[in-house]
Amino acid sequence: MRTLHPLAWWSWGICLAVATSSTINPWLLVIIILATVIVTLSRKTDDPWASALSIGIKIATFALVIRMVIAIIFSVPGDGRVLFSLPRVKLPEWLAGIFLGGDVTQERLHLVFIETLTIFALVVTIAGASSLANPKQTLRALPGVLHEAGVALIIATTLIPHFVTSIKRIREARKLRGDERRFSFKRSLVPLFEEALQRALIMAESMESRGYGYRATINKKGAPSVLMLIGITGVLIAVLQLLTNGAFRLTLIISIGVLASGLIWANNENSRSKYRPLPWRKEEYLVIISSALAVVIAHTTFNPISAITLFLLCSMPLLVTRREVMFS
Amino acid sequence: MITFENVTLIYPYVQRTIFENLSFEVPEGEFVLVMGDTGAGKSTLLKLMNGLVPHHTGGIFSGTIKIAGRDTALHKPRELVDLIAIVGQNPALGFVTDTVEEELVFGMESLGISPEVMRKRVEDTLDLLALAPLRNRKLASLSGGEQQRVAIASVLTMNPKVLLLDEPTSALDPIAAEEVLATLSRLVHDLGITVIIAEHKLERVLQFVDRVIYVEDQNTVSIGSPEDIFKESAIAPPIIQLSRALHSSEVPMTVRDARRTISHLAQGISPPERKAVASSTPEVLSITNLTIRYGEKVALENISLSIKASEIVAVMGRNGAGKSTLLTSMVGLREIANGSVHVVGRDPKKLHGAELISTIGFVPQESGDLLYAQSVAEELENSDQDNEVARGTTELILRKLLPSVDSQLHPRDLSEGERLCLVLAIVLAKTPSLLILDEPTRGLDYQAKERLIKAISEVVSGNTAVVIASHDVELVADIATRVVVLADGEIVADGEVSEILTSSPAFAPQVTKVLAPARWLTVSEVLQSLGEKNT
Repeated sequence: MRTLHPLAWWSWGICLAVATSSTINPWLLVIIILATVIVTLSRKTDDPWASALSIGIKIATFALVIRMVIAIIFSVPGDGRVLFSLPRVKLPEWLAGIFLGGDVTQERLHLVFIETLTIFALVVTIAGASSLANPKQTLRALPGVLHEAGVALIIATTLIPHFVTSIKRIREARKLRGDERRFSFKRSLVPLFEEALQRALIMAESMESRGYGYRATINKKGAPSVLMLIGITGVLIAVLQLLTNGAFRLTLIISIGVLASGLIWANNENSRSKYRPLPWRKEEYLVIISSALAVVIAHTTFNPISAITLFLLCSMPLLVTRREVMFS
Repeated sequence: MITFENVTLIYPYVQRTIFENLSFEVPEGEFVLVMGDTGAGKSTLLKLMNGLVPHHTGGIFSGTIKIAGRDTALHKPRELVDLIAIVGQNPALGFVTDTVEEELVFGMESLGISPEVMRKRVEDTLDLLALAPLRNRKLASLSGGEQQRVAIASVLTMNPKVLLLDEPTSALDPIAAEEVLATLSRLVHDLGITVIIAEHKLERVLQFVDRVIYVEDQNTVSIGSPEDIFKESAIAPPIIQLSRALHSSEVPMTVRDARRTISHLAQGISPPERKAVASSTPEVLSITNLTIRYGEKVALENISLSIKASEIVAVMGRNGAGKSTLLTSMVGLREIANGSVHVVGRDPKKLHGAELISTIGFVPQESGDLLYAQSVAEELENSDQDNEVARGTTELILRKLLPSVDSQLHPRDLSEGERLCLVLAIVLAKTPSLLILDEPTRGLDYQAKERLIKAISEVVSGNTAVVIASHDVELVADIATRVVVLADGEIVADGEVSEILTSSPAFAPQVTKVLAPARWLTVSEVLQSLGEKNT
């Protein structure tokens, strides 16, 4: 047993996110959140990205609190059991329709709480996946055609620390020349840009002389790219349809098919190879299938059996993986 | 292996031809040294060999260069990776990924080598370069020598026949440099790879070299055995200068050779006395119980140091021993955890602007950092303003250091040595009481070093104290009056230069090694004693 393939972690997270958006039952939402937090806490490593969960929970809690406060302050007139009343503030005429203060009903609070809980669960599930999946391995696991985008991202992330040290050095150098006046474009930014440009040239030389792009000169990109573009457009349209009305299934399935065949085609033409590719074993399939089942269960009504099943399905990674020991 | 036929290279908008009508041949399986003054075109010559020039840089190129029969004009560098590989001057800037193992496979993945072969080659290369314990480490956490070895490994995985290296040891301390060079020599001996390196510090590489390419100027490039080349070359390492000074016709390549053939010639003379600094000289720098931490890590531990005017103190030690931290704390750039630093009785942290630069002159490791104008002339003018001195003062100092330099040039277009002179002129415009130089000889040839030595000795004839951090034992032997050795943030030795340098095998200059046990340091000392003997 070992950690999962990063794409499996992402599928797990995304499936759980979809599950949260397909239920309005607070208990089911709480179960999904609990399962996510338990799995994440028991399987995360000490890497910097592992703190994504705690950051996500902080953001989600903040959103929850703000939303509840707003719901109490701005009342919406309607029927229901009044819990308490706030003094009503009279607003100017041009703000007609907005009510500050007034009766706070149980129904309204309940509705707002469930709405916000859905968002809370959504944030937590995605944050959970991002603290479990190693971002660099995710990039490496992407299909070969997307490799160039991945390399660009990796270079960009490694350059940021260099950039910070450059800024520090330039500031120190200005002090050493006895020049501590206010910010000067010429004396601060020009050297920074010059250095960045020089660094980029050296990097390009190094990549060129290590064979980067060797295959690109052999492979021709054409039909597969067109296919992928059509696929992505189709998926976008389907998602829009999903958000507006329910009739999306056919478009979605067809576009995903087109996108996938484009990717596979391009991938077969791309003859880059992968060093120690992460294996995709039965554990990964198991997690994906159980997460997909969780989406189905989330559609059903709440009862003790469905609750237990949902919890088990969501926490499937616990059963098939074990905490990974990382080398520093 | 490599053949140049009538190669000419010109960059557009530049008056000077870079190379004219160059023809030579490098045989297979040799360790080749490319030497020449800074700016003579050593780096360009290396880049010509793997096609980066002109494919990547542009330029007007004629003639043919063939690597194992493949023409570089017809193949881009990326199509030559299975034949020839290059490692740049600063390997850290060329890293594409961020861990050792990923860096090693980057090239192979681009070539589409099968996963099984890749795995095998990675393991082999890790073993060959003794990198196995570092395989999962982050590249940024490695020391300079380790980074250099990773850079070599990352191209070796593609099984090249030729390996080009541009100044692989210039940033390394003597021990790390030795390690890298020994690795390279092993590649030549065990794998039959042709290694071609450009290097200024000849004393470090000479013992490994089979052949020398001497780039004198654009149309005189000679290639030959080291013995032939060094018989009359203008550039020579101390060991050969010593042989010439002793009027020997021998051309020793190693310290061992020299001990056997020429050391007896120096028997009749003894090293001159070095004059000590008078005890009445005023103190310029005083550091007491200084401790500096970066987070958890202790960079300097309880350092106490006192430096008097007219002293030239060399700070030596491994990479990461705390030399740069000590130097920067002298200008007040570091947060002090404990203890105090005073320069002429004042806390450098409280000095600002003109007051700071009239007290302390600091030349950082990347001396170009101090330059930001668009031309040398503008830079000089800025300096006069910043220093609040009469117009033309800085230029006067620069002319002394560097009689001929086009003041319309952009500072970045100057050679490394010229740029250092410009920075030095700016820093010295207000004659500071303390002059600090961090690794000034990176990428400097012997001439530029001599110029630097002259400039520094002139400064010190006034009332200035000088602190130099350096890995370059020959420079330290030439110029310093006192040496402070740091290890793990502590001072482990502090004493007169002859005492410290002659007692440690890692820091001993070549002349010392040849003429031991007598305490000689430099060729100029030998010349001086010989002169006295003859008169």
